[in-house]
Amino acid sequence: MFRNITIGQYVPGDSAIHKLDPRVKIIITFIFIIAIFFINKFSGYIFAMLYLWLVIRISKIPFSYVLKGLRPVIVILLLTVSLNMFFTPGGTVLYTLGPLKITSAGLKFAVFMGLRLIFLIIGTSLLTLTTSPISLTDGIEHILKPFSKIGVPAHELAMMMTIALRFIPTLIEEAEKIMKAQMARGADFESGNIVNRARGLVPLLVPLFISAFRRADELAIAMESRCYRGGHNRTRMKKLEVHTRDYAALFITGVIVVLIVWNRSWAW
Amino acid sequence: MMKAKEITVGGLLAALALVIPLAFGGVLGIVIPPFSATLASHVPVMLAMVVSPATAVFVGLVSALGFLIKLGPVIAARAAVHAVFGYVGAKMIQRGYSFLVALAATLPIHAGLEALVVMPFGFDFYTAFVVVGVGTMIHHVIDSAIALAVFYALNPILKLKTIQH
Repeated sequence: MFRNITIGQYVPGDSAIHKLDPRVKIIITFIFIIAIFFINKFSGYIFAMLYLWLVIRISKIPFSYVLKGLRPVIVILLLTVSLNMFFTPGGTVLYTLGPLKITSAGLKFAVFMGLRLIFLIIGTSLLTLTTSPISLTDGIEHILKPFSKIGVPAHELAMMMTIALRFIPTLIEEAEKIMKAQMARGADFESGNIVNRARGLVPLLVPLFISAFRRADELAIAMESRCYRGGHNRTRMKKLEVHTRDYAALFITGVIVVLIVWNRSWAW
Repeated sequence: MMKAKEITVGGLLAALALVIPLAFGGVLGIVIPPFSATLASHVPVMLAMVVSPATAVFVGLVSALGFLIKLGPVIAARAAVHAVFGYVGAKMIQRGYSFLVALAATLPIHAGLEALVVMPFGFDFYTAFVVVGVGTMIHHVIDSAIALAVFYALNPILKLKTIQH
């Protein structure tokens, strides 16, 4: 199940989306995330859906692969939808289940929040699916560079982010293995009170953290043995440049944001 | 300049800070409306406190990003508080306080800030300070116990304190 998480995975390609400047892609992703929170009615999601469809088509990433990333969050998605459905008051009562009531307002809000979550996950996954870790580091480092004047370690933070993104799939796989191994030994992570559940986590987390720290250790040795000295006086083989396609991408994103904001004042 | 080991440990802890809410949210999630918590979600930030203040802030911000993707802005705002308590805890450890003392001292900061940060999202005083604040305190205590268990299991092998400046 965990292997289906697409955040942090990169699908190599030669599409226009893959070729976009990583700085532009990061900025666009942030704009998209903010725009999603501006949507206040269902019609607003049409623009977000069109935008994501366009990006997926141009990037040539199989649609099924992008959707696969939603599978691990189905539980939380259902939980969010159910909670909103049962605990949002207002509207007409559609169904009664003991003390719980599903109202029209609750159902509407639940679907609305569910869609928001789906669009957020797909939008964020597309950044890492179309950007190589090296480009992502370069992009983050360039964006953070102005902050280095006030002491923010831009290169180091970008490097940490790249390592984090690179190791997400590895750690997920590792966690799945540990979880299965512990469950085979009789571990129970899902039942019992809060204290028992917390206690049950230790056999899962200790091996997971040990493995993560071992990887960190090996990686640090590998970096130091290659004379890694951080960002100071570092030169680059590929310089980042903003091209016409980057301006076009920013323009299209801008249009979508304007439509989403404008949609807030629509009657439907 | 940060050392290579500090960068790699920070990166791996940040990955775990993203993985815990994203992959384990269903298994480790506890929801008592309107309060929700993901068990062990603070553990990466708490362990990052032992590494350095910059690492703790970074891991805290990354965990906020994970929660933003998964659960929206209210939970992300609460998670962003991790950067603050992580920084305070890391500074205390740098000044010679033990990990246990740093975890205990950051408890009121964590709970108070999480209660404050949800108020602009429409939470009333009771919900913010009693439900979210007390809920966060309990969550902090449980995660501290897990972090301590992991720390004492890890430290003889990995000597985390040696990374400090």
